[in-house]
Amino acid sequence: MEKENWLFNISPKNNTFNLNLKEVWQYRDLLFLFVKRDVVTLYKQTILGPLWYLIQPLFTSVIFTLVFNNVAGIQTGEIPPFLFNLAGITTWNYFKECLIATSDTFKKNEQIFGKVYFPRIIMPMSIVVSNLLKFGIQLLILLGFYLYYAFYTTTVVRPNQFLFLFPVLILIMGMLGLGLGMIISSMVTKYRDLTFLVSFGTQLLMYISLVVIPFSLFQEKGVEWLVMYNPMGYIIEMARFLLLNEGNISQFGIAYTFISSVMCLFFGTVIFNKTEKTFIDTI
Amino acid sequence: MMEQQDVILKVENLSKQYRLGSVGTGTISHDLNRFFAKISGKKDPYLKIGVSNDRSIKGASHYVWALKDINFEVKKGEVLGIIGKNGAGKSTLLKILSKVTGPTTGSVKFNGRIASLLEVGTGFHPEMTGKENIFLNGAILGMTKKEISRKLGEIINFSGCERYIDTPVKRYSSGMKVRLAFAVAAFLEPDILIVDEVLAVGDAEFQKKAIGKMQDISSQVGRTVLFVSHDMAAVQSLCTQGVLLENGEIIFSGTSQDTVHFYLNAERKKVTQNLLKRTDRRGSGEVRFSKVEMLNEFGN
Repeated sequence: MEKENWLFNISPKNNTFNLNLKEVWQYRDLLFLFVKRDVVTLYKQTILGPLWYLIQPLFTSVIFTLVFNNVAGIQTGEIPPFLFNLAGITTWNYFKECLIATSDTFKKNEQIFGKVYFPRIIMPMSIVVSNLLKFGIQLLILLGFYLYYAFYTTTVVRPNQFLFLFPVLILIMGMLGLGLGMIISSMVTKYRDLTFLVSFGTQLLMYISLVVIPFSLFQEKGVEWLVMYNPMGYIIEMARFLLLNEGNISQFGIAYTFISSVMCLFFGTVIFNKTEKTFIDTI
Repeated sequence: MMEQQDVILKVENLSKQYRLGSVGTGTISHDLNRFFAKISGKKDPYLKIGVSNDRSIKGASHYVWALKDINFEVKKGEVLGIIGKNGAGKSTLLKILSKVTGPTTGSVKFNGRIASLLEVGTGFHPEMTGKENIFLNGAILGMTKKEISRKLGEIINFSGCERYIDTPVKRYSSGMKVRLAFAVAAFLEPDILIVDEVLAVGDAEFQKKAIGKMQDISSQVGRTVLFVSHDMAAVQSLCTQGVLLENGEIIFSGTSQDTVHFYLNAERKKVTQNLLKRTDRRGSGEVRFSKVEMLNEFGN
């Protein structure tokens, strides 16, 4: 029996920790084209087009400011409530969109996954990247209001000296969204119940992620346990700390957020990899 | 050693099990049973049941083998025709070969890039133009952007959709979509190309063009093609080797001519019945039909 040399081998066993990054790199053009597809086709045949990117956070912030700050009387410190909400919502939206879109990966792409092979992880990765572009546009509107408050009103708004760390924070948030999304998408292939959970779960999660209510208020009422174990809470608080120099962050919070995001991404990738091989039979 | 070099794809003891009923591979209780068997070192309890996959007979088990112990080899430059009735396991085999789903047991080993021809416009985005879709589709099939740009002119030319190339694909007719999809795949240059019943939609002119292209690919460039079809004429003219599947097992393999003959003969035996034994005959009996045969253009 001569020695057999095969370049590729398909077998039932899947190496759990073989993430095949080389293969993902080979398909990098596909990643780019998926991002392009998502961005180009989202608002086709709409009149306002990409303006929708701006309308969503703007209107939400207006409503939240009216309801939570003017009616319910939540204090936001030195910062104008509108700016406080806008910063929170913009950041939160990036996480939310990443989570909701990636958690649908297998179900939504069943058609194409059932016909042709490419590294499946390209799909959720493209979602995180295309949402990043959207997030960038939304940051512009935040910047606009930021400048308005800085120069045309008497309130003092200034960023923190560590503002340059903001991209790192976004990266961590992207990792968390991608990781969680991949875990959920893998489980959705078998248990469809999770789709319902995700849509209203994220809605509920927002209220304990410090988007509208600052951490200090939770502390004041003695219910900080509600937000203490939620990494998203720390991320939103940190985002506002960097952008508006408002809020308090702790070393525990930073470490906790970082570790949980990395863990999420790691387990997400492993589970996703395990699922991609036979999900087409279960979905 | 020389022979080893020639074999580009080798399928060994390949089997695929499916569960019948509403859930694809099991319920939570089955999952748990599997899990306990796994941690206590036993074999998967649901893999023992081996029932032949005959869709017309109701089986006792909820599990069924869509493919059972498939073994074959394909040499470089060969065109292998895979034929069989509906539900014989052809598509399952192709799905495993194109890595869409994993096998239950056994393995597939191959050298080089495998690409499968998408069914009508899968992966096409209706809102994007033909040209944009060529890039997207090419990338899905594993091409890089550079490769596609280099071949863009040829692809558009081959598809014959030049006039519509900047129009969204949703305005295309289904035939045009197939043409475009096939054109992308034809210029893919994989080492092994898998083609599953795609020619059925195009018109005669395009079918001829597509078959010609596939012949070019195999004979001139020396690439391997796996071709699944119910069109026996196409299988005979295009393929060199053939494999006949029935109920998930290979029951015949040989040259494509032999395989097609075997298949058609086997099918003919099943519908043959002795006219002399029928009791519902009428007439005086002076002249009797002893045999009625229906033949196609090949005399089969």
